[in-house]
This record gives sequence, C-alpha cells and structure tokens, in this order.
Amino acid sequence: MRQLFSLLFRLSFFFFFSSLASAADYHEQLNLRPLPQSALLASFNFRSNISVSDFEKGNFRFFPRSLGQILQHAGTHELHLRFSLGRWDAETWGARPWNGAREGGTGVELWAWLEADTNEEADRKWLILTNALSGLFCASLNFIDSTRTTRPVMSFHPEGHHLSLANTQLLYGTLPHEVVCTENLTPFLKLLPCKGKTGIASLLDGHKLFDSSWQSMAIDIRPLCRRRGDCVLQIEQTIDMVLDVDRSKRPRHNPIPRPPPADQLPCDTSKPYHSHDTCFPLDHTTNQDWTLSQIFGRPMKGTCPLTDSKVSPVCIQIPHSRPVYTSEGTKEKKNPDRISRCFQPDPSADFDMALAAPADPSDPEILGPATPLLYAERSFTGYGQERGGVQTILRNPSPHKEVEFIYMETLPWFMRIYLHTMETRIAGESHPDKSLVEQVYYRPAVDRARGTQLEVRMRVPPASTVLLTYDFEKSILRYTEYPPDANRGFDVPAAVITILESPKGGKDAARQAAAYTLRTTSLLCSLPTPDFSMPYNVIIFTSTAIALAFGGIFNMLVRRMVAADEGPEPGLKVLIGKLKSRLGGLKGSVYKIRCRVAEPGTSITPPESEPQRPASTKQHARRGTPEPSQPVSSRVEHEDENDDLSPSDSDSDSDSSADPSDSDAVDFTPSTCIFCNHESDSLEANFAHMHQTHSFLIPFQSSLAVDLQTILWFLHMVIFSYRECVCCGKRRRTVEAVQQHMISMGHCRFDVSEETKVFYDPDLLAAQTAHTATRADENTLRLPSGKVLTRRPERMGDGATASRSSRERLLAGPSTLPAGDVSDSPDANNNTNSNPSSSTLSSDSTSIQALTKKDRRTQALTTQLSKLRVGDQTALIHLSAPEQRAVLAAHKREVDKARRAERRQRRKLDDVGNKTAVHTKYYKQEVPVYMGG
Amino acid sequence: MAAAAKVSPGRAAGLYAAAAALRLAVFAFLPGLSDLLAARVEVSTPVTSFKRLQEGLFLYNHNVSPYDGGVYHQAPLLLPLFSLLPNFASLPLLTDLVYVVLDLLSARALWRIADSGEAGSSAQFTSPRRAKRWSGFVLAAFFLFNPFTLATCLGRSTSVFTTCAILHAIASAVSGAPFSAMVALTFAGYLSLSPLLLLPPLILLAYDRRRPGGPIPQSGPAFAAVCVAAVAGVLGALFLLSYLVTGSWEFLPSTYGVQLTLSDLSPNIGLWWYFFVEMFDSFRSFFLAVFWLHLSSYVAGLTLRIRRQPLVVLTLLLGILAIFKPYPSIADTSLFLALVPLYRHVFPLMRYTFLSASVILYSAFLGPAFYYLWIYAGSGNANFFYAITLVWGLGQSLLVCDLMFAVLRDEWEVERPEMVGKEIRQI
Repeated sequence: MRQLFSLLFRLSFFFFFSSLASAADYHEQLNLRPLPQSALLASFNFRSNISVSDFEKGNFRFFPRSLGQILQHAGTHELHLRFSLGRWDAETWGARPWNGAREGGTGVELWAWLEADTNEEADRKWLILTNALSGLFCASLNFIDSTRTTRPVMSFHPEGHHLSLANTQLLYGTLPHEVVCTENLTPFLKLLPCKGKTGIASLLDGHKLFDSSWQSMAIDIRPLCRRRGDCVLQIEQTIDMVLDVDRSKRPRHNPIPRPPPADQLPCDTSKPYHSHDTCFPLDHTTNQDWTLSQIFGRPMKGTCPLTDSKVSPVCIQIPHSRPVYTSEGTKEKKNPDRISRCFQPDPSADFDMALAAPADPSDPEILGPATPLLYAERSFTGYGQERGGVQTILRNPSPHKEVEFIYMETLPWFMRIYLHTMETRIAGESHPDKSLVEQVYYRPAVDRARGTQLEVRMRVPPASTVLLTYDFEKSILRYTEYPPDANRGFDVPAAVITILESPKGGKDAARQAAAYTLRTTSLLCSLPTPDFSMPYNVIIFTSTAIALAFGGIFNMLVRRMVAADEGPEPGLKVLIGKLKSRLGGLKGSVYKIRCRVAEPGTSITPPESEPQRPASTKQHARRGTPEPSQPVSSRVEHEDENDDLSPSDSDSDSDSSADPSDSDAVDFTPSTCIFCNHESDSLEANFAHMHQTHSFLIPFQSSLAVDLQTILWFLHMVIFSYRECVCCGKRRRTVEAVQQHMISMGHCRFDVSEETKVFYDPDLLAAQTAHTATRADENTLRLPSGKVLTRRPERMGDGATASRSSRERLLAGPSTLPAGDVSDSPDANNNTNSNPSSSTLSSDSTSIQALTKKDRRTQALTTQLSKLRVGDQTALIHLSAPEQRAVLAAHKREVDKARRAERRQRRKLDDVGNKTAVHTKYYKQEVPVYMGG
Repeated sequence: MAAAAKVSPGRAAGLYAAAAALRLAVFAFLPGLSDLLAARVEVSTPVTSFKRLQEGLFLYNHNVSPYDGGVYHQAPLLLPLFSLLPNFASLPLLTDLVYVVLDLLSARALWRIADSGEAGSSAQFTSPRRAKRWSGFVLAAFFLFNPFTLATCLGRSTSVFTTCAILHAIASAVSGAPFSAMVALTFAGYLSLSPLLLLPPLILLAYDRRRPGGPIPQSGPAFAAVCVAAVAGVLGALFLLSYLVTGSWEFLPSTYGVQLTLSDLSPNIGLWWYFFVEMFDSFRSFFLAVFWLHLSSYVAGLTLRIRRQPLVVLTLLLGILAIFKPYPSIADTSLFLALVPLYRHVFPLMRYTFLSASVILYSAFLGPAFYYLWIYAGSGNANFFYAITLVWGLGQSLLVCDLMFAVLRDEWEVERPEMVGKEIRQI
C-alpha cells in the first residue's frame, strides 16, 4: 500500500515536471530502416536545448553539466565530436543517414569553433578542450596535437547561428588510429537525461553496437537562435548503426557462427540448377523478419519520461504493406507518405516489435536505397616503402546534374606529398583535365610540427568518373617515433568530401551550407622501419667507421715517415727483448748457484743466454765485440796525441773476419763531420759545423780530462767501426744508416754517462754538477735527474723527440748494457787510474750476457754440445769450432728428418683409423648433415 | 708544362659533343631511365632532389612559400632560375640542356686545372714524378663518362650546380683569378653549405698562384682577409637576393638548418641518417655537434700539414666531404673521383688501389640491391642498406687515406731521394 502510494507520488511528480518543461527541450527518437542484403540501419537521436542565459548562469537541466563546463572553460561556440567504426557501403546501402552530416571518419574526429583572437590563444583553448574531452569520453583525444590539427578553410561550415565568426577559429583534428569501443559508449550514455536506463537508449548495448557493420556516434553542440537575443544551445547526440540482421539474430548462448545443417541451408531458388540435392547458398536472407529484442538483445524499457510526448520514440521506414507487430498498449501512427510509420509505446511497459514477412510476395519488401550524390573511393597506388600515390575515384551517378564539392585531406607529416603531381582526369580519357579543379588550398606539412592540409574545390561532370591522383614519399622516422606495432602501418585519416548546396557556386563559397557530406575510408600507410633492436650497434659501427677514417688521416698528419729499419723499435719488440734479457739473467743466476753447489766433475748445461766463457772473457766490450779488428789507420792517426789510447785487447774475439766493419771503415779526420761527412777546414770549424747543422755539442767542456779531438775520435770510432748511434746505441748495418738514424732521430748528441765519464775530470765534473738544474754550459742544462738537455737550435729538435729518445735509452740501458761492461770500453783502459769506481765495477763481470750475434752463436754451439752424450762430446772435442758446428748441424738435420717421417707415418695411421671408425658406425652423428640445396 | 698536353680543338669539341650527345640521347629516348635515376636515393638526396625542386617551383609559382613546408630544402635562387625555363612537364628539353651544359662547363674547368700542372708542381713543391701525368683531355673524359657523373646528370640532381661551382672556383684559383674563385666558391657554399669548408685551402691555392700586380694585396694575411671579405660580401648579397625573391628569411632554417640538424632522415649513402634514426633523443644535439665538428676538423689539419700543395688539400677535403657530409650522394663521389686522376704521378705510391677500387665497385653494385631488399622485397631490413653505406664510406676513406699517403710520401722522397722504392714506416 505504501509502495503504491510512493509510486503514485513519483508519477505525479514526473508529470508535473514534464508539463513545466518547455515542449521542445528534450526529445529522443529511434529510426529503423531496413537496408538491402539483410542490413538494418538504426538511427538513435537525442536532442535537448538549454537557453543561453541558463547556460551562462550554470543552470543545467537536460544539457549535461560536465560538457557544459568544458565548453565554457574552453570558450567553445560550436562543437562536433564523432566516434566511428566501419565503412558505409554506399553501393549497397545508398545515401548516408542525415546526408552524412552526423558521421565521421574511422576513429575520432573533432572540430570546434573556438573564441580566440590569435592563433596562439586558439591553440591553447584547443589543447584545453581536447584534454578535457579526452578525460570525459575515455578517448585518446589528448593525442590530437599540432601535427593532427588543421584549420579547414572551405570544408566545414557552422551549423548553428552565430552573430559573428570574426573572432572565432575553426580547428579540426582527427585520430584515425583510435579504436572506438564500449568505454566510449558509457560516457556517451551518461550525458543523456535518462542515462540509458529507459527509453530508446535502453536498447544501446555495447556488444551489439560495436558488432555492427558500421556505426557512428556523434555529439553536436550548436547555438540556435529564433530571433535576435532568443538563443538556445542545442546538444544533439546521434548514434547510427548498420546491423547485420542475420548476425544479430544469432542466439546469445551460441554466438559462434557455425555452418547450418544442410536441410536448414537457405538456397537461392532462382538458380536454374537448383534442385532438391543442389543448393546455391544465400549469404543473407531476402526478407527481413526480426524482432527488436532479437537484434538489440533486449526489449526497450518503456519511454524516457523526460522526452517530448509529441515525438514518437520509435519509427520504422517500411512499406505500409508489410505488417509490423508490437507490444500491447502501443499506438501505431502511419505517416501519409506510405513508407514510414511511428509507434508510441506504453511508457512504463517493455516495448518490442516484430517485422513479419510481407503479406503479398509481390509487394516490395523494403524501400530501395536512395542514390547518393557522389560515390568516392580512395586507395594507395604503387608498392614498396619508399614512395606511393593516392588515387581517389569520384563517381557522379546523376545523369544530368553536375556535382561540385570540396575534397579535403589532412595527411600526417611523414607523407610528403608532391602537389605538382596532382592531377584530375576523367576516367577513360588519357589526358588530365585541369578544368575540373576550381580552387586549391594547400598548406604543406612541416616535419614534426604540422600535417598536410589539402582542400580542393572541384566538380564532377554528370554521369562520369573522375580520378584524382597525387604522389607522395614516405619518410623514415626516428626510431622513438614509431609505435610499438611499427610494421602494422600508420593510419591516414579519411578524406572529407563536402558537396555544396548549389552546384552553380555562389560568390561566397564559405557561406554555402553542405548538402551532403561523405567520407572515404581511412588508409594504412606502411613506412620503412629501421631495426629497432640495435641502436647501440649502429652507434658503435658508425663510430668505428668514422674513427677508422679519422685515425688513418690524422695518423698521417702527425707522424713522420722513416725507412723501415730506422726509428725506434716498435713498443712490442722492446718489451719482448726486455723480457728475454730478464729471463736470461734469471737463468744465469740459477746456473751460477748450480755451479757452486755441484760436485766437481759433473757437467752442467749452461743456459742459452749465458756467455760461453764467463770467466775467461775478462774484457767484454759494451760496444760490441770487434776490438781487435780496430782499424789500424785510426790508431795511426792518433798516436801523436794518445799513444796508449789504442785498444789493447787482443784475444777477446778472434772471429772478427765475418764482421763487415773492417772493409768499409773510414779513416778518422778531425775536420770531417761524423754525422754527414761534411769536410771542414779545421777541427774547430768542424765542431762549429756540427753544432750548427746537427746541434751537436759536448757538454761540460771546461771539465774535460781529454781534448776535443779525442772525444771526436771516440765518437768516430763508435759510428764508423761499431756502426752504433752515439746516443742510444742502436746498431745498423751500414755507417750511412747509423748516420741517417742519428740525423732523423735527432740523436746527434753526446751525454755524460757512465761510459763517457772517463773523458771528464771527476772532481771538476762533481763541482759543476753539484748545483742541480743549472746551466752547465751556455747551451746545456743539467736536470736534477742527471739528464743533460742540450739546445738544438735548428735541427728537427722538438722536445718530444728528444725526451722520447732519451727515455728509450734509459729503458734500454739496464737490459742491454750491464753495468760491468762500462769499464771495458776501449778508452777505459788508459783512464783506469782516474776512474777507480769503474775499475772496481769491471771485476764484477759475472753477469755478462750475450750481446752479439757471435756470442749467441758460440752459446748455441755450447748448448748443443752439452745436449750430446758424454762420449759424443769427447769425440768432438778435438775438432775446431766450425767443424763442431758442421757436425752438430748435420746431426740435427738427421734427427729432424727422422722425427718428421715418424710424424707423417703416425698421422697416416690415425687417419685410416678414424675413417674405419666412422664407417663402422663406431661414432654416431647426432646432428643430421645438412645437404645443401 | 704547356707542351704537356696540347689537344687539337677538334678532339676537344668531339669529346664535348660525344658527352652531350650521350646525355641528350638518354634524356630524349630513355626518359624512363632518367626518371628511375632521379628517384634513386644514391642520386637524389633531400637537398638535391629534382622532384623536390619541381615541388618547390610549383609552390613558388603558385605563391605558396616553398620554405613553409618539409619538402623543399634547396637554395632560393634556383627557383627564379628554373621558373625562367619553360615548364618542365611540357618542355623538358631546355632544362635538360642546362644540366648538360653544366656538366660540360665542369669538364672544361677540370681541363683547365689539369693543364695548369698545379697537381705536379705547386708554388712551393715540385714533385720529381710530375712528368707522368694525364692531359686535361683524359681528365675531362674521365669526368664526363664516369657513370657516377652520368647518373647525377641524368637524375637531374641539383648537386650538378655545386660541382660546377667548386670546379670553377678551383680553376679560377689555379689560373690566378682569386676573386672569381671566391665568388664561385661562395656560390657552391650558398647552394649546399658544406663547400664553405674548402675556403682555407682555396685561399692558399689562390695565394700561391696569384699574379704579381693584381688588385689584391700581396701579403699573406691581407690576401686572406680580402678573400674572406669577398666571400662574406658575396654570400651576404646572395642572401639578400634570396630574401627579396622569397620575401622572408624562412629559407635559412629550411635550407641550411636542415643540413645542420638533419631533420629529414631520408636514407642516403652517407653515415648520418641511420645513426640519427637510431640515436636517443637526449643525445641528438650532442652528436650533431660532434659530427659537424668532426667534418670541419679535417680542414685545419690538412691545410697545415700539406701546406705546400693546396690542391691536394682541396681534393682530399672533397673526398672527406663525400663521405661525411650530412646528405652525400654519388655526385660528391664523382667530383672527388674527377680530381683524383690529377695525381697520376703518385699512383705508383698508393698501396691499396685495388682494394679501394674493388670496395667502391662492390658497394656500388650491392647498394641498390640491398636497398631493394629492404624497401621493396621486404626480405632484408634496414641494416642491409646501412651496412653497405658503411662499406661505401670505408672504401672511400681508404682511397682518401691512400691518396694522402702517396702525396706525403712523394713530398718526403724529395728530402730522401735514396728511399725511392724502399719500405718505409711512420713513427
């Protein structure tokens, strides 16, 4: 009882309000229209008004408040929003509903007139609008950035009444990639006054809506004025969908399409071969018979109580000859045009209707589709990912009437279109017809900033087809600009074709209202893609290629050329040499210890690097070995001054005949330059020349113990007899090579070292070097480290070279110059008294190492001898060294030969064994052999 | 030297006529071939493509600023020049003639350079091998019938203009006309920016070959200052003219800015595009700076080291530009290869001629194939083409290095005549 009372109260409340509200404030209507091939077009239309004064005060009644506030905030005068899916099949279905005014291209489309004085302000408001709508409709509208926004000039015209559009701007953005789905429908229904609970909106189910062949949801907000000042803001929400009746009638519990059993197969009985056992299946039923609850999945839940009662909620366009059955309490109203009827259902009861097959088979089942004004198809031409073309086929079906329209493309920036290749051609003709295009508005794309906007005002003559083509180039993007599914391709928005009201074309084209709008399908453009997996590899590879070129060129820029045997040793060789000598020293000391502890009579193999006669060689020259072969002439030249300077050793190395130095030794002339054989007048002039040309200078001249000529003789001997560099001790085959080496390396200098100290008076030298880092001479400088820097005025004496060679020498010093050798230099003999320290050093000559080739040869001989048995050794002992060597060499050859033969034999045997093993399947091959092909 | 190569005028005319006839025949009878070449990435880059020039011209003739878009990135003065010619679509012959004449002019400049003997004996250096050289006729023939030059001309790439300007700059400098050399170089730089890097060696070359009593001061710094001022003045005038032609300064970011920032990443045979496709956004600017710094770092080093032979520096720099430019094409390579035969006398000193020649040939044949695999067949990915551009760059850098080594060794052997034919090493 109480419930009944409250219900009555509520009902009376509703009726009270609906009578208060102005009759035109809200109405809704569903328009059903069967289409050929068992398709059904369902158009839902919801419309409500709000007066501008209420809107400005914020008194929202039917107008959704959330949307109203966004419009106020973004200064929007008129707004159009579309969510679309699918393709309108104009060939079958005919003209579009609402003349195409309520549909959009695939994805999301938005265009609005914003109040703005400048472009920047419009962009700012557009950003606000898109972001707010994005939140409201759960769509990616915020991705409509500057590259997807255009400002159409000719295509769009305001639907509402505006006092002035002077300070408004039209902005248009599309998101062709957006997938419209249920989450967009829910907020859409929330904007309705009845929220989809009752009325025709209760039929809207996401499953059915997004299962349709084509659907478009639209929101249009526009100001309408009856008189000046009497304006309302109208919001119109539209949903158009084309349902496949057969598909929609599939039972819910069995949604998976399965082939029907043979006896239920609908057959085309018109085929001549049709018989009881032959069937040509129909892909759709010819007559539409369905109920509302079948195709929408549920019946309609009453009517929305807020709707205008004068407007019938459900209408269907079907010949009056076809019966339509409805629920009880429904008022049917047949329109006088004989093709449509409307129904006023019971407001509180569920409404259902059923369309039955026509009573008379000769009557038309459904209305024939209306012919659209224009057919348009757009597609890509060409292949490959480099370039392509766009071709639009525009067909005017009217036999008499020319159609004039505006073709608008908004293309993404990475499609670089070539406008000069755009041409229009009437199909069937070979030459382009320029007269078809009347006006072109083109705004080229700017990379990453703006898309292409192309508006073409053109016409198609009656009953003809026009091809509009242009070329474009696909650009490659940065790898971060590709979406995750880069190889799917990029969506290109639909082209919008706006057919103008009067084909003759008035003076002011922009003011013409659109008679018909159609959109082509969106396209999928595949761009070339880079390899996304290897940014690091690319960076590394490219950098390497650049480094190779850069390194190659700059190596040549900074390096000097020398002969292959000149210059310092490469770093690796020096290192290996050092290591070898260190190892040799170690072996030597082990040998010494073994000698000490060994019983007398046992033979111990000396290490290879150990000198052959450690005890007997009391004088082992540091400057190579050939003292006894000292050219006689050089001694003769010198006997007047230094009689005892001549080398006194006679027995250290007798095998000097092999040394080629004897043959080309040059006599010492004090007036000849030792570096370039330049002849001067005197010794002084020679020194001046060497100083000038080669920067050669003898340091600490005041503390010399001998005269200059002696030193020069010594250096001459070093160069001409030993063919060594006076500075770093490098040896060369010929005197010229040594000289070349010294000149090119800047080694024409003479340092005070252990070996040359003998030329100096030790006391004077000590006094001079006591204060460190002082100028020892006007041209030399002695550093605390003991290094002497000599100024070299004009030879290629850059500091780097000098310091490098001296460093090399320091490095090479300990390894190749054992300390004990110093005193054994030929000149040391006559200066022993003046240099006691060196004489003490000379006694400690146990660590003498093999330095020359000859030494090494004798060592090798010793080693080989020691490897023989004792008996063999004694058998060979009476032979001379060369004979021993010959015998040993023959022996080694024989042994090697025998070993090689044995190895060969064994390998042959192994091979045979392996083969047999494989053939006897002893080994199984696990991996099948890939037989190429 | 004058006696080195006297070619009868008839032979010269025959060479030019043959080259022009070949080109015009292809233009006339094989228009498909020239269209194919124009579409190749090896020939047409975003800054030299003829199709883009046509688009710019179309927009320019329809009062749309061609620089307010992402397609046209070439110098503004090309627009009035080409709009003076009859429409290409209806009457291509005149446009083709312009390209043919430009090629012939380049060949003529090359001939002058070769006949001057500057390559063998400059003001400060005379090669002992200079007697062994090819005449200007041979060089011009090499240039005119080089497949790379042919492809560039047939593809109607606008780098033909740059090539012609550079060759004329060198030829003028060699023949003692410093001012016209500077003007020609400025044109080259105006057309494609990077030739401005050739200014220092070109000034040296002009200084070495200056005629006593010319209008330009004889002292080194003053000479250089006058040259730089001339370049700056002419460049300013060109910019002003461009401003007057297009009506705004928009062309500066759209032509030179694109080269500096590499905003168009279209594939080409250079090393930049794929590197910057794969580059992380935060490091983009840094590596752009590094790449440009790298490109310009060669100028000072080479100019100082090979001061005695400025023509060598110019040749080597052209080779380096052909490798490391932002948008290189085979036109740059053909220019470099046109100058290389000037150094016939040092060819025996080159060590890797076979290797570099075969690498260049290898990549020249494999490059289009790999591009096809990536773009059309889809059976290869971008790495295929990228790899071949790397090989191409390496082959060219090998040639540049080798030429440089040969020239340096030639210089060195003057000091060390005994080292001729001996093994050497560099320390």
